[in-house]
Amino acid sequence: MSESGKFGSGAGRLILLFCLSTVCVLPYAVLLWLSSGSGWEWPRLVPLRIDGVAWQRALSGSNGRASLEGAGLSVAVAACSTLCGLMISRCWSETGGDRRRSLLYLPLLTSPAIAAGCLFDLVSRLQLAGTWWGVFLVQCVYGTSFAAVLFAGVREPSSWRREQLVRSFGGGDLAVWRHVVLPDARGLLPLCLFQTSLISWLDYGLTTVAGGGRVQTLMMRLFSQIREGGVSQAAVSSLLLTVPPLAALLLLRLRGSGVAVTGASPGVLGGLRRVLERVS
Amino acid sequence: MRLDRGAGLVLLVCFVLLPAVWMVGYAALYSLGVLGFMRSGLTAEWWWRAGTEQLLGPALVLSLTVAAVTTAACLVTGMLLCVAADYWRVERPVGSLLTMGAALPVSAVAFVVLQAGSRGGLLARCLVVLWPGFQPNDFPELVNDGWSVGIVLAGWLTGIPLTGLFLQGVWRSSGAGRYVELAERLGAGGWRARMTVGVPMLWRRSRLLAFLLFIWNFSAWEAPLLLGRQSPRMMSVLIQQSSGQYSLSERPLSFVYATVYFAVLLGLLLWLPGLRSGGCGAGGCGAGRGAA
Repeated sequence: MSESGKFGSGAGRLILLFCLSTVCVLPYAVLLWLSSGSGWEWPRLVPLRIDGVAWQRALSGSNGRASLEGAGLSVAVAACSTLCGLMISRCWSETGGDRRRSLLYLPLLTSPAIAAGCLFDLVSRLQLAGTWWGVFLVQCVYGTSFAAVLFAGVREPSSWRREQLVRSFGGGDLAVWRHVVLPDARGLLPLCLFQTSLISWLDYGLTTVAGGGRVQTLMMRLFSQIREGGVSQAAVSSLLLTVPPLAALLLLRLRGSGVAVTGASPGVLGGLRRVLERVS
Repeated sequence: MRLDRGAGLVLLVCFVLLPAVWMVGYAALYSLGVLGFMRSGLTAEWWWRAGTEQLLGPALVLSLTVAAVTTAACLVTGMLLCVAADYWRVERPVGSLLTMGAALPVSAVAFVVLQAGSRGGLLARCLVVLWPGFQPNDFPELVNDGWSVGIVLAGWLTGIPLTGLFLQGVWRSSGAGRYVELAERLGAGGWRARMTVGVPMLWRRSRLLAFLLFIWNFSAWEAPLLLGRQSPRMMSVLIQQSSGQYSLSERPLSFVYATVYFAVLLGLLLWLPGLRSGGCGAGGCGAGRGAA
């Protein structure tokens, strides 16, 4: 490569990485900067007071409680959804053709705010509106749909043959789960657990409607802080919200399963990358 | 039927099918006056009102347009990223940066866009500091604006990491690199080989992602709630805000909007298998798999 070609290559590489850093890393920097202090008078670029007050408040009182309760809820949703999804995947292939199966994506792809509006009456009839159980139930609908779609591709022709083999040796349902279902799904289990917990952790639409304002998670606190104009507090909450997705990405990367979890808007699509790669 | 399959079927009905049927059926029946506290027997009054109030049409057009623009922007940028990363051999750092971006929730991204792009935001403050005499009103409207720039920007920022990572995976698994290398040996330039050989391969295998991204952006809620205008509103914001936030008497109207939303969504979903088979039927998938 000539000298000018080498320079062009180096410059292009730097420009590409700089632009991508701006898109992917700059939001973190902005959030950190906004969370660093208080008193953002116009047109100051630096806050009046650089202190850690927003961080202290975030980890104590109602914010800290909301974070802990939200984390507990997301763990419960993840466990329940993953188990239900695994069980549903056992009968997935018997549920009809491609067109009918596409309808099973419906709960997953519906806007949570709209879904919650329609499901609110059902939750009210069950006397669960405005309770943690009500929020847990509607979040499980989303989590289970995701898990069912994710695990649907686990069953291969060899799975059927192995299941028949286990049964022909006298194995029951438990043995089939132990020797066929769980080994087949083992690679996807962490991904499913992480992603379904993130569905719950990052949910606002379902919680705000089904919880009726009485269920407070960190995401609910974030929107309250934005409405109240608490810039520093909202920045801290946003950063705290990114901690579990970052941890999940790091763990999955260390585990060598690639990066499939995402906390972004199309978060579920991130988890569905495997499904997409399978069918496309 | 085995016990676990029976339990799976029950869970499928309870957690997936029943909520799906309930959502669509409840919205349709409520909008026709058959259900709900304002039920008055079968009536088309609410549909008539929705048709004459001039809220539904603009909201639908806005949602579809924003979804199409955001999806197209994500795909084009993702493909360019993928090609550029391969050309300059920086797949690993690009993958790491995209992974960082993938962890950002949409609400955090929308908050950053709000804080950076509003007239009192960080970008306007930078301009005031760097450019004496600059007034906040000189700053272009990027948030709560008529063109929904803020919503598209937030959708693009959250869609880029996913699209980029997915397309990088497709590039590796389809063996596009080898075809590009062949084209280069046959005399094509580095960029031209990638754009004419690699990009069509990426496009063939990313149709389903494009479709799901489109639906996702069509259903977006948090970003439009923070960054959108009051009129016209995105479909999900319109439905949520008219379902009793200001007046309970407008609740049936929100279910009319929800029914239209579900009709569009169902139409798109029923089109999905055709899209899937079309994507593979064109020979692209077969070629990709063979190469892989």
